[in-house]
Amino acid sequence: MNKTQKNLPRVARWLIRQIANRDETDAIVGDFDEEFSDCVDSHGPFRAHLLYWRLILVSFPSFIANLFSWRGAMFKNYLTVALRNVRRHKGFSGINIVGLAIGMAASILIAIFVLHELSFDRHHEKADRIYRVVAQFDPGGEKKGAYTVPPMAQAMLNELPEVEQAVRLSLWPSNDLVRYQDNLFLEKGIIYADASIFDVFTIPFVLGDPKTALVEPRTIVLTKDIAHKYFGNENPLGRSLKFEDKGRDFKITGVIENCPSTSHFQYEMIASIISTRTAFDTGWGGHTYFTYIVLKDRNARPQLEAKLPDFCRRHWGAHNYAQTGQTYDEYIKDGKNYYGFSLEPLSDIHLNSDVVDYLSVKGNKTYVVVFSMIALFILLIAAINFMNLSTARFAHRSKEVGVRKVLGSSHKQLVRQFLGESVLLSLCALVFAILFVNIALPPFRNLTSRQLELDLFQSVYVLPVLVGFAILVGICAGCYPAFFLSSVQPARTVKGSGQHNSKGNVFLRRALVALQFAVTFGIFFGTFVISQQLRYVRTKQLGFNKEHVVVIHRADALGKEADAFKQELLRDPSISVISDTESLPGRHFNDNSHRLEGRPATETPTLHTMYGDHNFAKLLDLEIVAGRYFSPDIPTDATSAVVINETAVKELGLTDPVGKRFYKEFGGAKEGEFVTIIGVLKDFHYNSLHYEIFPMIIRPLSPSTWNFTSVRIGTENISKTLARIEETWKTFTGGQPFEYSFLDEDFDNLYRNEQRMGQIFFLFAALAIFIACLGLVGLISFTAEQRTKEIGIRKVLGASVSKIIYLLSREVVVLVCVASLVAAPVAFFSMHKWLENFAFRIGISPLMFVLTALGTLAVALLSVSFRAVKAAQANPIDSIRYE
Amino acid sequence: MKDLTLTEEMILWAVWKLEANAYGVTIRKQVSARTGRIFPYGTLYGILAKLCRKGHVTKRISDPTPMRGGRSRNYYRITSRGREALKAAMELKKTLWDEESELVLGEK
Repeated sequence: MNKTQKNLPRVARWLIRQIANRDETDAIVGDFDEEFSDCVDSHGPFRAHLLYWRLILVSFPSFIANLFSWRGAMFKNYLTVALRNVRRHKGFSGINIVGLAIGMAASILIAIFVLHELSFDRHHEKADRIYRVVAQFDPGGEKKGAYTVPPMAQAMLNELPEVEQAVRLSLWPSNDLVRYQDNLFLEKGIIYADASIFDVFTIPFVLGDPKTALVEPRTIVLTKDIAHKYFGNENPLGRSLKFEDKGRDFKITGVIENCPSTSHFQYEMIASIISTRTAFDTGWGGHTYFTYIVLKDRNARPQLEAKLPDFCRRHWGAHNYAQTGQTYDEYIKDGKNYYGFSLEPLSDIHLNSDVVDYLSVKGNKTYVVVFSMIALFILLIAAINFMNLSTARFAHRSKEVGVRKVLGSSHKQLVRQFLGESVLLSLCALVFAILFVNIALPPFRNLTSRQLELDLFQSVYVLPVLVGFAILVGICAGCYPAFFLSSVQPARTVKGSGQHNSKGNVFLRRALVALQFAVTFGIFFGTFVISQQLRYVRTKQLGFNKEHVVVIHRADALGKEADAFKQELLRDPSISVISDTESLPGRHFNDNSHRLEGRPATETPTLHTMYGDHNFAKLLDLEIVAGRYFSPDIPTDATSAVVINETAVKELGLTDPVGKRFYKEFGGAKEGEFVTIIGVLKDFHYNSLHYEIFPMIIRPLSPSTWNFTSVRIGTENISKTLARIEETWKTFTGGQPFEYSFLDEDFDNLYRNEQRMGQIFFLFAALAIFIACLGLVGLISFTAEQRTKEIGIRKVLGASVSKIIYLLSREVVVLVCVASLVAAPVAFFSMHKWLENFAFRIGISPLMFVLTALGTLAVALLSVSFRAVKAAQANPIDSIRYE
Repeated sequence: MKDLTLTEEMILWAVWKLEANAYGVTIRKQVSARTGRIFPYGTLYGILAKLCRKGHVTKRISDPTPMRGGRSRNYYRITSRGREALKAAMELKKTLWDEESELVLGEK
């Protein structure tokens, strides 16, 4: 009889060992073995295997149930102890949980924001194959523009086999007055698109057929909300909307779902692009449309890109040759000029774009990265706090650990107990965090101007991820105290040598506190620099007077009534100047190439072009450094005079600019007609301070370029003046909506992105600092408590209150200083990088570092003194007697 | 004293029946033979531990047997308390089942 052969298979035995009751294991394995060998004897090895695997499987559930009932008893004890501890140290646990909850809430909020930013344009089914074709103006690809020429989409579709589908979108912000019977609204969300838009992008239809919706001219598709606005619950298909400004009817051919907030182009109505004349343009000169293409194969991008230079030479090159007599290769030869096309993946447009596209919803990758980092930092601070406080408190419990060990607790069990406890607290914190997030979400939504949601049941992942995250934080934060405590020598603790703090423990805690302060310092510094820069851009002298100017939009709606309207307004003494313009400072200026008389045809520098009437300089108090501004009394001023700024003089290399002449047509191709420079304006910041001042030219306004009428009003009774302007507007336009803004507000809006991000930054900075302070308060109260006796004895021996406070806070001062030194270089470099976004910016001075360090110190001392004073003032009798 | 559950009762009965030879293998086989189904060890040891705690049986760990790869057996003996419980269970059963019910149930 061979014994070894008749033993249980190894796997089976191992399995049994894993699940069997701890103190019965041997007997159980023995029983299995015995039965097995019996069975081999009577039924043969094969049947025995079969039978015994069956037996093991059947035993499984009951073994596991036993396991739990055993562990359960211990678990109940752990839970009781944990809850008792929470209850006994209410303040301590409160600080611990609330701190962690705030940290979690902040990082959940930021995570929602970041995920939302990353989800842009991912809802299109073909997202990974959609590219935007952009025009490139330099060989390195630094200057790119999203606007492309009308015939390009069709040409690509015809000539490049990699392209499956192409679409043109006209996203110029256009305001149209739209009427259906009595419903008259000013619509701002109208875009124009080729019929293929529904093949390229995923835009679900509620009513109508996507195949035919935009095939005909003057057809339009509405979103659900807009359809409801005009037609209520009626079926809008087949009805028409009248576009008042164009005087044309658009037939409704479809209703689509509302535009998702994560689309880089926003729309409320999509009209067929062939309703506009530009759509039929065959010239390759006018950049008006966004062009998107779908590739047949997602890997075909390099292949297609290789063909683009040739494509560009064929079309744009021919166009350029006809205009200037220069072939494409000659044009790009010296590296000064360039024109080409490149592709931009759809998923890059929102966050990762280096293309100038003037889209209204624009992401910023830097902010996403910075916020993710802040979230991480806040979480780090919160976790460090949690860890510090837990370690401090667990040190109080070394006696418990000792007793548990003496009674037979294993190392593993203790680690499990403490880890479990910290996970429990962190799960509690998660519950609070979700509560905080729900409270903070509405204001946060405003702040970020994004449709952010926290829907716990939106996907199966949300809750498990959150809980997993809390457990992870709990384990990370609890792991140090757990391992540190479970390795305590029971003899020492039980003998009553009391709370002992090993050197390493104290050092680690100090290092963690220093790390917290380093982060606090960094955040303080960032906040400081950002607020200084924002104040700088808001208060800097711009070279023109932007205060008290009312800008009337869509002023061309006045038509022939314009003069009468102005006459009427000027009767009001509080209105001093009225000026008509095409654009205004802070708004978009067109780029046009200009050629000076007598210069070669290839020398055509680009100037920012604006059209304005003779009152424009007076309206903004612009300063003239040479010559004069347009005058109503000189008839040629209205046709053939221009004014340029100082930068343009420099750029053109002129010494005596007044009297010099430009070719009237842009680019200077047509001979014969000229415009004369009659004056030079002192440079003024007509653009945001992100940018240098560009060379600029003002041309006389013609009715076709007229967009805005601006009114300088008095400083008093602004609302009354506004009401009068509106009333006058209504009488002269036949009741059209009055749309206006203030120039200074428009200008401030240029920094809206920074301001908004600044506010978010401040908010989270405040949170981070708050959490750090909470942690400090907790820690100092722990130290004070531990040193109660020492403080009492010192007081009895004559120490003053201030001495004791000094004793308690000395350490914190040192830590803050060290932390500041460590954090300063990092803070400097990151803020320096941020400031580089601005062409005009503040310098970072050493004083800022000192102030920040002092601020950090003040905050630290404030939170310390909170508890230190109390400890120092305590009656020594109580403290000495405390055992 | 709480009544025994049916499984407890069966195991206790097997321990009583097996007298000096009651250990894992024999108890399990005894019960299995009566019910005609495989009786899992998990349940067996869970309930034996419970019976021990309640004081119905006592446990004795034998010397290692070579037959079991050098592992010992856990022998169980019924205590007087266990006997009482078993007896009470039997009495309870008797009150439930008389000849009449056997006739009626048997017909069905």
